[in-house]
Amino acid sequence: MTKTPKTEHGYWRSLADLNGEAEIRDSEFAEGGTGPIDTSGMNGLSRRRFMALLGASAALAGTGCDNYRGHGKIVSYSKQPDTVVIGRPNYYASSCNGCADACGVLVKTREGRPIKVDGNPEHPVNQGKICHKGQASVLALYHPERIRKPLLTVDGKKQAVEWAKAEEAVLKSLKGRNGKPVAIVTHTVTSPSFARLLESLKSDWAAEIISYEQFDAAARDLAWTRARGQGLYPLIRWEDARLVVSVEANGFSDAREQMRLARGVAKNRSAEEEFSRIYALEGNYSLSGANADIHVQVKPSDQAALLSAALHEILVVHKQTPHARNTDLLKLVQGFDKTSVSARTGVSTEVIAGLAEDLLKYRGAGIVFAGGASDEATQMLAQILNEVLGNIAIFDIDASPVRHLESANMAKIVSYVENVRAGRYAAVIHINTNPVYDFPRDLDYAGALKGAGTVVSFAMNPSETAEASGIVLPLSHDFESWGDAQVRTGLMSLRQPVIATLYGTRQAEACLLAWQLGKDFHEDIWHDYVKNRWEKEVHPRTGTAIEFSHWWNAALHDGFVKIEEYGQIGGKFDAARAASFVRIPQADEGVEVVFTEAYSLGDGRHAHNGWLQELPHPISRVVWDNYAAISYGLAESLKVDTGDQVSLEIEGRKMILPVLVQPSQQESTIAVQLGYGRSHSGVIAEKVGFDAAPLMSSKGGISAYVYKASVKKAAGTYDLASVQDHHPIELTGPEAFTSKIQDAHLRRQIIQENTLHNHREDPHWLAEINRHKEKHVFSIYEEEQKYTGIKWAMSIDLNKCNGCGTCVVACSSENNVPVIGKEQVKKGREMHWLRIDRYYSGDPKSAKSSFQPMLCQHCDNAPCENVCPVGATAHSPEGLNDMAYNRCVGTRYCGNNCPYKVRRFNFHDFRRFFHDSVYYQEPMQLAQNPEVTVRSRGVMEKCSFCVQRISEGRAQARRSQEEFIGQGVTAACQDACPSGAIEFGNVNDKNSGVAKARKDKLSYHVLQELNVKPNVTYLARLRNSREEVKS
Amino acid sequence: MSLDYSKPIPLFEGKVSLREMDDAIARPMEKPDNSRFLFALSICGVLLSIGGVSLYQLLAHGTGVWGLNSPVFWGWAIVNFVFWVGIGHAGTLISAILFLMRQKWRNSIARFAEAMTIFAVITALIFPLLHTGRPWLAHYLLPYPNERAMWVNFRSPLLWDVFAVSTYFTVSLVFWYVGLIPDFATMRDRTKDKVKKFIYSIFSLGWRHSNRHWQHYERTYLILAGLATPLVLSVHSIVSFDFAVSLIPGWHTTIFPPYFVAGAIFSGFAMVVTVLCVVRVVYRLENIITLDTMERMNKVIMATGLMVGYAYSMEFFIAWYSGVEPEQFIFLNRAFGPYAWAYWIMVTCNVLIPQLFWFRNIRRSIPLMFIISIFVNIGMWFERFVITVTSLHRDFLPSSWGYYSPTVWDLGLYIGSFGLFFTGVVLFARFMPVIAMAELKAVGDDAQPSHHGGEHE
Repeated sequence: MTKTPKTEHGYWRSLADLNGEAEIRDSEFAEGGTGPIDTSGMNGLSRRRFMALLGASAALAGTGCDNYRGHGKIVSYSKQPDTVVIGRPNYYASSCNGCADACGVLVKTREGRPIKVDGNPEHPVNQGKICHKGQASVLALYHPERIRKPLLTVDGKKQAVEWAKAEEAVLKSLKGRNGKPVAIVTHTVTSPSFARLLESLKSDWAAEIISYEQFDAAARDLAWTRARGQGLYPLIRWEDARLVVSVEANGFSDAREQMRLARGVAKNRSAEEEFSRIYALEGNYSLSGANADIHVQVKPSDQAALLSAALHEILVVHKQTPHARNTDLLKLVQGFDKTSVSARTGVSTEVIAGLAEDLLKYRGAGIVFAGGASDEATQMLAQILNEVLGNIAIFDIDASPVRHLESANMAKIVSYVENVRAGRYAAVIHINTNPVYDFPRDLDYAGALKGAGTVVSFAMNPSETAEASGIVLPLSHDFESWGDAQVRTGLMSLRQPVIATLYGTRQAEACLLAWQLGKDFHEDIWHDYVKNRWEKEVHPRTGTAIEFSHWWNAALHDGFVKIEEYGQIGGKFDAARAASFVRIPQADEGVEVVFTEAYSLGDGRHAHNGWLQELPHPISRVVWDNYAAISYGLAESLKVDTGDQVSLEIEGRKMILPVLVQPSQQESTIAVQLGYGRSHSGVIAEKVGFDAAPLMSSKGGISAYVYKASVKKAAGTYDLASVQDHHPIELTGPEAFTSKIQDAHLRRQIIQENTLHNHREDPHWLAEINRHKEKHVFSIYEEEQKYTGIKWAMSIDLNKCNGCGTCVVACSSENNVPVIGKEQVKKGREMHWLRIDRYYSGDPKSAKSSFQPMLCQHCDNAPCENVCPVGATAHSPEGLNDMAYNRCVGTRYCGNNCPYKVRRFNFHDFRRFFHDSVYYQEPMQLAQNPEVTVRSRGVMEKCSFCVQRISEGRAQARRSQEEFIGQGVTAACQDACPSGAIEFGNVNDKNSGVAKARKDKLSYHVLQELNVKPNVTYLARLRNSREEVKS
Repeated sequence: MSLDYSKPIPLFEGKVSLREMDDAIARPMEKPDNSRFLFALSICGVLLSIGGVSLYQLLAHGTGVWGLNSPVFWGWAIVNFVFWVGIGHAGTLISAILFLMRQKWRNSIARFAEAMTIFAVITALIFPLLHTGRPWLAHYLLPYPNERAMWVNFRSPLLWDVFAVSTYFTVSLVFWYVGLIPDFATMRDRTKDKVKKFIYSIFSLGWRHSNRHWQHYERTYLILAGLATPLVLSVHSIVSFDFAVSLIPGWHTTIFPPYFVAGAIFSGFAMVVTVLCVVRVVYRLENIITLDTMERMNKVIMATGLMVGYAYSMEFFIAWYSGVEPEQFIFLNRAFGPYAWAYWIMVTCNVLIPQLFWFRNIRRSIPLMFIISIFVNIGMWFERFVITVTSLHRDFLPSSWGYYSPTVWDLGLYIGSFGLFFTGVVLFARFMPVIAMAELKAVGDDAQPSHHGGEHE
């Protein structure tokens, strides 16, 4: 019989229920919870009291809870891209387009926006490093003044229009060109695909390509071609150079493969291993001079004579090379014995003889390198010396430089401008160039453009050329573009977009291609072109068996591919031919002006970049300006001082420039940086510095960049903003006082230096000093903190640091350091967490320079910590000196009590305060690193040892269930340092670089005697002067 | 000139009866010269509004409107703070220490000096508050319980400052008010105006001049004087710790606490002399605030000036003796560096000029002491400027050396601070008894009645 359920509802919950034995259980829900409300148990909140509470909360909500910090909401993805994990960065390999080096870069993106650029560590040439300009390129992407829409000139006024309308205007002139050619003006084209496209336009549009650089190695290449009949000046194995002779090379800024240069030179500056010797023969005291072991002041027109004297010593005195009997060379150096050259140049015979001895000593492992500004004779003599000494061995035979398009020399530029003026072109298309500003002003290119037909400019930012163009097409940033690059044999790089275009801008390559094909623009059009070309031409040359589509993805992932292609050093050296090009300038008493590329702004193309404008010049430490760098001697005779003005006159062209009295500058050489004084470039660059280009001419002087000039004092003064020596240090007062100012950094043992010779004789000289200090420093307190776990520390090798400042820009980018502008710098409020101190020692006329990167030392006994009344800065268990920005009330006591003065205070809300709040506008907020707090007004800040990266490293270790001992954590400055001078890590990990550096015989702490126990170790700089000969 | 040192110097010029005292002191309140009062007040108002505009600039744009920079993170605000706190020192010294020492001559000036203390400390307090980057978070400096368990840092001298100055202010205020109670009662009894009577009644706390009241009063006053006495020494010692506890050469000096206290008394007395020179003439109190009293003040000024001068020379000696390079440099830099002008102004005003008080004629000349006392205060302001700015502007690393120049808003707030101080002083002089009537009467001739007609032979 079936058992009928006894329950009313027909189902049962338990056997007891089934059997009807279920006891009545407490209701699942509390009584009254679901039933009608029983008010008797509630408290007697009266209506009056309720109203009072309501009013109070409303008042509180209205006033107390005003969200003064928040401007907007954080919204999550409604549809999350599968490659993006919120809070974790993605890295993409690409190629930099800042100069013709085409370094491989790794772009860090967060939630789809690029926030930091570093070198691609796997890239064989730049090996994870890029220069300050590359580091700053991320700011250019978000620059609020980028051109966002095509501009069309209607009735003399520029109007923003849609792409279709702008393109229509361009196409109209291209179609109706009636056989007239089209001129395309570009900088050096590093992209083989783009070069191919331009080549094809030569036939399609009768295009004439003007590919120019204002500063390049053209003079060096020309000398090479003349001496050998073919080829380009080869790449140099800097890492093998034991002797480097820089001739007016201005920090080697025009050398190819900058990052390899920095790395290579630094590699040979190790006391334990190789220690190279660096000579700098120069008029303008440059970064090469500051880093030289032996700095020789010689004005540009005497440099050829000096090199001849060295050659004379080698050929005639030492007779030690196979060329010693070469009559052409002997004839060349005739009359250039050291005595007469010494009399002419003021360089002592001892130095000339020493130079020749060293050149011979390091035969085959040395390089004489003339900068791009040198005249033809100097260039040629440098190459003759290299040839005679067998230094050809230092050239890279594995790879040669590659040039895709003939670069336009001055003759070509002159004829081009004439053609423009004559209206011989149907259209002139400028591709990301600014020839109105770059071309010699005597050519009056802006005037010439008025006669041209259609003038088109592809430009990212406002520029003088865009101003003079009828049609301005907004250009995509490199991070929004596809492309490829090849600058040396055997290596091809790719560029890929890491963000969708911010404003619907386009890349020039794509537009030209679309116009050529008569197709509509499409986002992928250039990608397809490049990919197609790589499939046909690059893929087969790699010898890979991998199918193209996979290979392509791998190539994009890596950012570069190696192809089977080898370098060669072309041609045979022809001494007679080489000698025939050497015309050594006559001795001249007058003043010479050297025009150099702006250290941070390049030829001016980076002028809109606040980070670069605020990057101090490595020698003068001046920001936001250029000036006439004048020697002490000349300043004395002109009776001028820093901040006065001089009038320079070159062949009737006059200009008034502010004076900077530059120690170690050659007596009659004046140096002026170009790239400043932009007239149409947006608010950042306009009226910053002086446009010195009108002093130059297309005809050149001693060289294209060196001119004879007359100089006299001009009325008026001009304030230069320098981040060091904010005000020139007057050496007045009694001897007891002035003697304490001069070389204070040496007497206070902030800078510890020695000669290599002395160091090798007595390697413990510094350890002795350190021990003495340790003995006399004690504390009455017991050490509270033992730091048994991780202890973060840094070491900086001053033998490797060359003062370039890349770390400073990298730090600004990583840590959201604001740009403050010239006025604030003048007041002394620069915000850089990491600065590079430059000290001059000795007689100002021939001072030696020392660099010292200075940042928070994360002292164990941090003097800033105990004086903060609110405890906003405190020590972490891992030895970090932390800042709690939210807690900081801004008493600035910590800043006062910091003996290193590395603390930075937000005297204003600098982003808003700077220049009409330009860096407070959209889309600048996207450029900020989301891991680092953006500091508000009234808050102290300083180097955190990149604490956000430490946290990331710890999280990573936790995820992979490893013990965290500091692995994988690098500081942004360390990542950026091209010469690898910075080590950062856990000093308790015996294998870490920083632990090893602390044990180095050259290690010392700055201001150790204060017992603040700093955690940044410096390795003392050695100078490889010629002391071994003297002793 | 022959002086008879065997007799006490009379406290009053001529014979002043108790009634005359009351009348003389109450006159400005009862028969006010309103035009002169409003004139003085409007000048103060102008100064105050300059300060107001400067304050607006400061709050709107941040401390960047001042000339501060790195390395000189502290400038005029801190200089002014120390300056005003120093000014405040004379009041408590005169009212408390001299009271305990039974110096009867203090009774004619104690009230005014105390009032100046109150206003000087109020003026001083605006600077540390406003000089912070985020003054709206000033409550972080107080140890209040909060949900984040964030506590203040008791190792910081700035925190000691918060306690020291606020304690000093509180005690000074209470001391001042307690002294005022019998006088308020006198005023209440004298006035016929109902409103005034009401107000005086409230402030006199029901004082009836009874014996019992006087007994309690005397006790309280003595205790408060005892409490205030150590504060005179502690406040400026602790203010000096702001500098001395740091490691900056020129600040890191053990001589600072006594040196600062001496300097504070020096400047405080000078300010009292400056103001009294005016007040005694305007209110016709020459016979009560006598030349003898002023001379005594000047003697204190000279003595403390010598102490300060000693400290200056000792700093140099110790710097040389220490053999520490940055230490030696900072003092040479004071004397010969870019701020040498400030240093020599300080030395001239603080050390050289007060030496004139060795001459009795100068000590007793109202115009001369007025001028010298102003010089002393200029000198003392510069002393704080020299200490604060010259030490910071060139410290350890020559790379970070800088120069500081104040802006118009620095100046504006400084002017404003004078406006605030003198507004207080003017209002006080108009509405309150500028001399403690009760205390004065206690040392008057009639207070010890005798049948000899007052003179004790």
